[in-house]
Amino acid sequence: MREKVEVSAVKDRDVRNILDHFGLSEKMDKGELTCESCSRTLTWENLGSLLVKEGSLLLLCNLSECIEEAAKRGK
Amino acid sequence: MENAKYILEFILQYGLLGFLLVVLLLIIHNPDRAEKLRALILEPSFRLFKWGSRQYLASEVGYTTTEFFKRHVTRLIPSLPDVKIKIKWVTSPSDPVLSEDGKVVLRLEETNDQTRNILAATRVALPHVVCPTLRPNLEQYAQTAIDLALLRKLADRLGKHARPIFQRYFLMPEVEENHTAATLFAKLVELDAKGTFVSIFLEELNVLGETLYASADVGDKTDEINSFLEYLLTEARREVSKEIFLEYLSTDFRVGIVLVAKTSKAKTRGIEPYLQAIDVNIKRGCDSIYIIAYSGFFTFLKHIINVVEGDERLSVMQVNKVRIKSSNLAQESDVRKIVLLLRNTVFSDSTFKERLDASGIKEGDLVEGTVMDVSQNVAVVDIAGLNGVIYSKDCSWKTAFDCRDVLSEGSKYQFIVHSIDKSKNRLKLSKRLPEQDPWKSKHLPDEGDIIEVDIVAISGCNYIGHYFDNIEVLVPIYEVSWLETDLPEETKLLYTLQQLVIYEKSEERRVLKGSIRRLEEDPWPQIHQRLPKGTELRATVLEVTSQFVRVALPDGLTGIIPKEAMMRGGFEYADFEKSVVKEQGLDVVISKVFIKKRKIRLDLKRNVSQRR
Repeated sequence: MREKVEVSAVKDRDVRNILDHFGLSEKMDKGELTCESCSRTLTWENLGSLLVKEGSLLLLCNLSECIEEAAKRGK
Repeated sequence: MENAKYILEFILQYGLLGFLLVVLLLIIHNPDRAEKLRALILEPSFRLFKWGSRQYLASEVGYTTTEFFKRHVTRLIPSLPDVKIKIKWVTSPSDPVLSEDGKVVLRLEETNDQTRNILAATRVALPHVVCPTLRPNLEQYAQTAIDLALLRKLADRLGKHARPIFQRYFLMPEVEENHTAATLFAKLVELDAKGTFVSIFLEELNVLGETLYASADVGDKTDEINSFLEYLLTEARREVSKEIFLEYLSTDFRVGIVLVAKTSKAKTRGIEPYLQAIDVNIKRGCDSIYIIAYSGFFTFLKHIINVVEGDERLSVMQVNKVRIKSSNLAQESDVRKIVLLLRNTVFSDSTFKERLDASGIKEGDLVEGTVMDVSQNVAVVDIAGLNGVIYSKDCSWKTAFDCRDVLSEGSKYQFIVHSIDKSKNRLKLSKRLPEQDPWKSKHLPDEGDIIEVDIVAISGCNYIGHYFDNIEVLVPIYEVSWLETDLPEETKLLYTLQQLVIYEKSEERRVLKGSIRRLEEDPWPQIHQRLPKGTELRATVLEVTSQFVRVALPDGLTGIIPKEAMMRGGFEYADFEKSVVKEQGLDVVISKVFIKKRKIRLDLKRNVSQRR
């Protein structure tokens, strides 16, 4: 039997639209956002993953431990 | 290589049609290749213009991750299902994924090199694929170390360029300040180098996870897992050629390991000791038994599997071929096979008894069996689905030095059930069939009979002779000649026909002894008469020892010059061990002829002359 594991992904060009919708783009431009896991300042370059939590969007950087943290906290 | 050549010839012969047909067949063989094909087609436009990036990234990342899990993880872990990793794009804020609580959305970079994207996607997928049900029972550092060890495997397979990316973005950030994870990661890498990380360690962890999940046990198992890892490292660190039978029995793990590696043991005792080791593992309560076979023993391993497949107590679950990295750069990597046997809890030792009862087989019965494995000392035989063993001494009424002289693998023979070993679930067999009993043969000679035998072997201090088909006659070496036998020529009668007289026949001990020398009269009384004390002879040195010099005399006789006689012979013989050499001529005189001992004692002629 084969199981399908879906990995949801977003590509660079779509990230801004999504963050706009959640009102986070401007904060990202100003450097006001930090990684939910390691508190590193987030930029458009080091954004690693998005985590949906209780209707809001949590942002994590692209360090492995933070990707792991997202995988652990998410589903 | 042969296949590739054949495919190339096919494409050249049929052109584009042939190429498309090959591609179609490859996709039918492995549908995941369609993803790879799509990635290959889209790659140029993506690299040049970033066109079709969504499709390209999804295909390249999805296919590579899926293939890694398939080839290097799930294929080696029978308790894990095969997985397909699918990249699902979130393209707009209205995507339903963004309203699913707890959903993780990974950002994939639109770069030409997909290494980091592939590693990141695998990192996200790992907790869902490998030991998913065990994770609540593991401390975070242990989960991290396991995932990193698997990511390292993936990086190795992506190529040299992937290793620094793995180190910089995945390994170092996680282990730099987490020494516990770093230590565990190093141990897992060591285990992986020996091929047991995935096929044994992760398989057992996954099974444990399923058990804990079923019993809703959320207790921390990190320490227990660390102990199990140490046990596997003992095997991994053992010295080459050192053989060990291992088992690890705890509340959570009941694992046995049998190593198949030692040439001399395999040659002389065949698969029998390994079957015994498996039996011991079952009896001690191992639920999983792993047989690790080194290269050169794969045929041998096949014999073991063939026999085990007939044992209802076990199921052969998986045969994994793993490549072992050599620590020595000069050596090539080695290949091992790891077989997982699972204890079938429905069947137990009582099954053997039930099958034995059903077969109606009892001690003394004549049964037919197929030889499954044969070595010098022992053969393993299948008797109506029951295991039987036969040792070389029971292979024939005659002396059998090697089971392979009598039995051959795959052939059927008649056996007698000598005994039933219920503790080992097997029959002890014999090929000493009553109707072939030489002691019931009409040709069996009596004492005093003169017969002709084939001298076929030497065993200890006896020649072994065959009379008719199966009558064995022992000829002690001292019964060959009345004269002293020259030791180096002991084998001179081998493979010759010899006439002899039977001088001992013991039905009780089932021994027939023959003598060649007794065909003639004992010459020693005559020798005694012919060689009175003082007879002068010319002798040739045969052997020099610290106590005497043995010499050859005329007419095939030999004699001894004692050390004392040599010492009396003057300064040139004072150190006779050095001064006297083989083939040297010596003038000697008879001191005494011993009729009963059949020996001649000599003195040097010069000693006797001096006394005169």
